[in-house]
Amino acid sequence: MIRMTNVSKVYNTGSIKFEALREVNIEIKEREFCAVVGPSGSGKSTLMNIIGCLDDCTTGEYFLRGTSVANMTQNQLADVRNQTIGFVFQSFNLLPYATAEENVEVPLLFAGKSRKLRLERCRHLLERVGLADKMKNRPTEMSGGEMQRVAIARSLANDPPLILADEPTGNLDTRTGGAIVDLFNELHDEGRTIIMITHDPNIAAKLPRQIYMQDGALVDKLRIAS
Amino acid sequence: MRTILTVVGIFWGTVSVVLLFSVGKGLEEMMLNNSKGLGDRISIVWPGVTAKAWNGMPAGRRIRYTEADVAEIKMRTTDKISAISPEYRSSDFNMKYNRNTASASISGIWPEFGEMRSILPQEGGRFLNQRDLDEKRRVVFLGDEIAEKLFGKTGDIVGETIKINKIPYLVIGVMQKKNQNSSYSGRDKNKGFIPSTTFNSIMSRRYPSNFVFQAKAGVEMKDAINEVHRVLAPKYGYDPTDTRALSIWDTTRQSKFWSDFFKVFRTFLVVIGCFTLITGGIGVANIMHVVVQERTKEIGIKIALGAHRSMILMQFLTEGTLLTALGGALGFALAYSLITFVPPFLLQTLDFDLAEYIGTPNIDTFGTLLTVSILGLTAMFAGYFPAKKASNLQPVQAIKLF
Repeated sequence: MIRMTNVSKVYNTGSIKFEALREVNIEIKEREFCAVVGPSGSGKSTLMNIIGCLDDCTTGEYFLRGTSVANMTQNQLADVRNQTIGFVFQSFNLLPYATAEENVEVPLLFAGKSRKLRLERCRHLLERVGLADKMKNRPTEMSGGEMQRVAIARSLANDPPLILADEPTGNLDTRTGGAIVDLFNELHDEGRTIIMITHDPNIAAKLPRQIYMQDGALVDKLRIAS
Repeated sequence: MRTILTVVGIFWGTVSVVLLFSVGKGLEEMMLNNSKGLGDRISIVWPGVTAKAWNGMPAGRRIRYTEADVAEIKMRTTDKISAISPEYRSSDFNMKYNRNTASASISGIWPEFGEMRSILPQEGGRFLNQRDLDEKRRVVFLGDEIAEKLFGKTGDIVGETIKINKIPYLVIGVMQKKNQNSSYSGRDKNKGFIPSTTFNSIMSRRYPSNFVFQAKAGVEMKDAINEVHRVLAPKYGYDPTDTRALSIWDTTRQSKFWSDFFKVFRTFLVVIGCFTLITGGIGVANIMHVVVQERTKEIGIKIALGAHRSMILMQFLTEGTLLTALGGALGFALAYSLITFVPPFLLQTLDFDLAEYIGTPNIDTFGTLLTVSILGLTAMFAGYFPAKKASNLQPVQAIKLF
């Protein structure tokens, strides 16, 4: 599913260079459920953004389902983000003026689905995340957990095989967070590949695979512990 | 909120420019119209007093002329003057029709007076003619307002008889409504016109109050006036270069003044219009710029969800077009209704006829379209480029910017 060779990311902020990723090599197979763990500033989010085609890498190569992302045009990348990847952010990133239903509808709109199909799909997805009664609510009228459910429903809109979640439970209390993780487990059981950044060691420990990061590089668990 | 401000910006810009141009256009049209109300290419000549000694006679002599002199001028200046008429005038005639009375000024004139002074009959009537003159007929041509006063209407009164100072006259015609912004003895709508011969048989005047002549098309009024002096100066013994011997009002100098004035006025309007547009445009551009900046995050989210760049740009262009169209339409509607409803309203409540002073504002379609499109294009450009910039960012950057 995902293969990265010697991927580095350097941010140039004025005269200061900051190396967010150093020579990352990683392979994630289909149907894996990985936790990405590491302290703040260790490059987890940068890695996630590159995987999600939201950012490009400075050097190295990234293959998504066998295709080199560097060679894709802007429109191809847009289609990949639309069809292949579902992204769930820590801060939800819902459109504030749109209802839950409209938020879920956005990726379907970009995919060019008919109105009837879109409405059906929105209803189905929001029912699935348990928000059938909040379809017409705006983000400001919802709790954090509910907003994150809307975001998950939105990430599933075009039925993508890969779900990327950047600390989806970071802004939620433990119980709500637990429910969200359960939802991801379900999605994994359906056969999706899921990569999830988390700060919570309890959540990470329950997942089949853990990827540890420190200072922009992949490390093994021992170094983090020490 | 910003969206509303953008609409208001375009709306207000449209209102001000449309009003500005419309009122300006109306004013100009009215002035041009009115300056023709007194007559085209005419001068009015009153008796005068010499200011220069001539042939041993001192200055300060009074120069007057008779109807016969006017006839002589007519005969001897046919290459410079196309129409001429003496005018005997007296005010405070008592006109009476049934129980309605009105006091009016009456002019005794020749038939050609009508056409050169833009006094045209309404349908069904006629102006005075040569036979009226020759036969000293008791006929009268009425100004429209005086006819309204006597009959309560201006149509269908030809053939009626009115009494002027108790003598019956046949009404032969009523003047078409006209705008007249200058006069020397009251507006024509408040006068009656009778043949000069009839006037004299009642009032027995030796000298006309004044005479009016029209220069031929293409002839300088100055030359036509010299012709008048050429005939009268030897006869009454005054220096032909003595401009005070006759008191002459050259109305063409006034129309020249107006046409110069409106050249300046129009330039002035265009300059004001441009400034208004620039102000409006800057406001709209400013707002659009902020709108896009505020929505950079939204753009980022949409790109992260798989929007093509063109979709984002289309969205902003569509919104821009809609806002412009909305603002433009509302602005036009307000300007239009102001123009349509305010003058009659003023007339009703304040008894103040705006149209008489500033004319009827006339919507300048071209100006309106130009205004709306300039403001609209400004809004779109101001929205388009920041939107393009935002959509070219890496989605992550766009999301994190705000």
